[in-house]
Amino acid sequence: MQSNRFDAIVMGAGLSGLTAAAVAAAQSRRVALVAIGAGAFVLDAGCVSANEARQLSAQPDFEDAIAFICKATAAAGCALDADLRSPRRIPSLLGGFEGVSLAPRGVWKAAYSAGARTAIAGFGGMSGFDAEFLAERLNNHARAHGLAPVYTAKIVALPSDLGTPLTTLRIANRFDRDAGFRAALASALREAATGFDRVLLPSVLGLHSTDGQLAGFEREVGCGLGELATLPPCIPGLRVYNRLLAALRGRGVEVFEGYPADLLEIADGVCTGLRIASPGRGLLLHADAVVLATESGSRALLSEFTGSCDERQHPLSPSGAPIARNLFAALLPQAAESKPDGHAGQILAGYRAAVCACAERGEYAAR
Amino acid sequence: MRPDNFAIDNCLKCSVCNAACPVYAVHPQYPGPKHLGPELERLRLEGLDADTGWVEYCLGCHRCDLACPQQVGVSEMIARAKARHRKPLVRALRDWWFARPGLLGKLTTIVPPVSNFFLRLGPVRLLMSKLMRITRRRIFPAYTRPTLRTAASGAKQRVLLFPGCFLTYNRPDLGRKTVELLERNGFAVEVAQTGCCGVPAIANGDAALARGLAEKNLAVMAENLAAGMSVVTACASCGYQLKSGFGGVLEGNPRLEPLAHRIGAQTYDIAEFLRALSDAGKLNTGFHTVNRQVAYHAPCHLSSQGIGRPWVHLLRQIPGVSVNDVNAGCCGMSGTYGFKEEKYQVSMGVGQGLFESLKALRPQQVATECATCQMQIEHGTGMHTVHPIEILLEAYKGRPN
Repeated sequence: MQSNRFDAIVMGAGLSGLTAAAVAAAQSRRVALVAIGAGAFVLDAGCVSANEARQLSAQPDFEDAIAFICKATAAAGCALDADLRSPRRIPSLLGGFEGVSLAPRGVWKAAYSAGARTAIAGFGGMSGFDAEFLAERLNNHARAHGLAPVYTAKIVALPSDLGTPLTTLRIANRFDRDAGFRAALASALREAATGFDRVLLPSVLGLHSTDGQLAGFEREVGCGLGELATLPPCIPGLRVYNRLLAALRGRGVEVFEGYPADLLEIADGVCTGLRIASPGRGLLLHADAVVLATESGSRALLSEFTGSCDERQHPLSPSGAPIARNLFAALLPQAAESKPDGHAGQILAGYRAAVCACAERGEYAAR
Repeated sequence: MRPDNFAIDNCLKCSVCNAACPVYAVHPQYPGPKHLGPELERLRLEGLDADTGWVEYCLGCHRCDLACPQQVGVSEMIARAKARHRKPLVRALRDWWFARPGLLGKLTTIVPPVSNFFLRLGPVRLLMSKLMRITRRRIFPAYTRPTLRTAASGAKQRVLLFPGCFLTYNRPDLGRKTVELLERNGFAVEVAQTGCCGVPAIANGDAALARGLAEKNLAVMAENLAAGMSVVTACASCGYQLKSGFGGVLEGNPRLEPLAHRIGAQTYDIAEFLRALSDAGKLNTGFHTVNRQVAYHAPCHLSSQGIGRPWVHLLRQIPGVSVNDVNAGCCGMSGTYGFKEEKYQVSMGVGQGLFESLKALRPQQVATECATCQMQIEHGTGMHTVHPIEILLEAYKGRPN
């Protein structure tokens, strides 16, 4: 087997690229994932707004794509939970509610629930998160929508050696590596939960923890926990990225991280290779199909790319013809007009592009 | 990562670099790459004194660069700030030595058994820890006489081996194994009479030294490079340094910069070189069966070469070998970093994830191509760790080396 030959190369590790790589890997293809860092979804937890889900609901494959990514992330231990029919009210950091149709499990569990007395845990000394402000604003918003105000702020004291400035990232790092700290946090939250049905806390529950580990932590606390997405980088988004990437690696996906692609080899309407701009010579990869799952990266590589693609996800040249028959773009058709550029659009586009790409031969399929 | 790109406006302050930084994960006060790199760079470019001792704590692992969605060359900004940073006398003296493993090698190998015996003595280590801030909890690798030489060969295809300090002064036996591996694949190996690649100099904040070493090394290899010879390294850090044109220290030098780019284009990590042979159907695959579960740790500077995991491909071709790519982050050693008294705890904290993963895997053998990663894994887990070259050679020979 040639080490640099793949069934599919996916360029980009945002939601579309990760979805595309997961689709191809699920079909036992040999996949290379070329990425310069995590996609933008790690900046905002990767939720899908109810608005966007509604806009895309008529699109073919939409429900399949969402069901696929929910299943793939659940298998990777970082479930994205979704309900396309009845969106949840997810509290935002500024004290409002957002209609959300898909979110990482921890965030999904923070949805408003009328019957649940909810404590909002704030950490003494942490910047960028004010539990009292949040509880007051959420209660006001709830009343304005005719809902019961259920929120009460509780300040939780954390060990003093967590670092300065105290950010969610520092706490999440400590959560990952220190069992003693996890126990201390669980006990502090258990205390804060007295008299409440559940606790919402700023997202600090680890960059690598699995759903299983978090369920165990929840049992230790003794009540339901919900995570509130905080300022970038957003811990639940990073967790989805880390776990999904690890799961893809486990399925044999080769990850080339850190350097952009600087050349697509296209001859006679066929894409034969992609070069990564690694130091020195660069690295040339070959594949039966190439999926471009980064918009800016795709434009840099394809001077003639118009920004739209046909129904088989082939990027189109100005003449309206596919640029190469085995080149696919994770873009929705006529993206320019409807512009659903949110996370659901990315999941759908990545899903479709990979399904089309996997219709190629795949002779290097993982054996 | 685009090493030539210092446009700090590309930094969106998203903190993804902080999330990728192994030191930020374990040191509660470390400000992180975002602050030490692009944030302070704004002030430094204005000519303001933004010097801070925290730059000394950067591992130089490049993980921030690889994670940055905007391709900001974060670690190079920190490395340049490190070079301008003024250290207190004791640390400055110690780091002067640490920047010069070649000189250290030359001196200690005048009478290797004596220096090795001496460096292992408890009281000596205690003294070094008190006087030079070198941790007594580690033992220096054994030094030996530099015996790695070019051997006569009838093979037509020639390659140049860049041995680096470790193969020269610590493990000439591994150097000979590297040569044998290439010879078994039909190559005549010329051992370059080069010095240190300059990574320790950059890591210890001595840019002038790194520049001097780069100039000397290029002069030694100029003829071979002009003849189009491939340069092969068995050390991931040397490999990264050569491929990146000596870490950019020759930028702006009209005579040497083109040569530095040339060496970048002609340098191969040994596994990358063999993988290319394999892809071309030219690898000698006369392997005996080696029944073994191997856990492979990819050194940071292998990852920053952007060539994937060539050893995983090669080792999997040996009948009986199963390879587990551990992928548990940085080991925390970072060359001389882990030897520094004040950084020992950080170093071990960073390695914790890797140690735990290895202990959970319980492999029959641990392999990594970086000498200091090997030291750290052995120190942190007690598991004997080999260079993957040794496994490949064992498979050729059909018996342990």
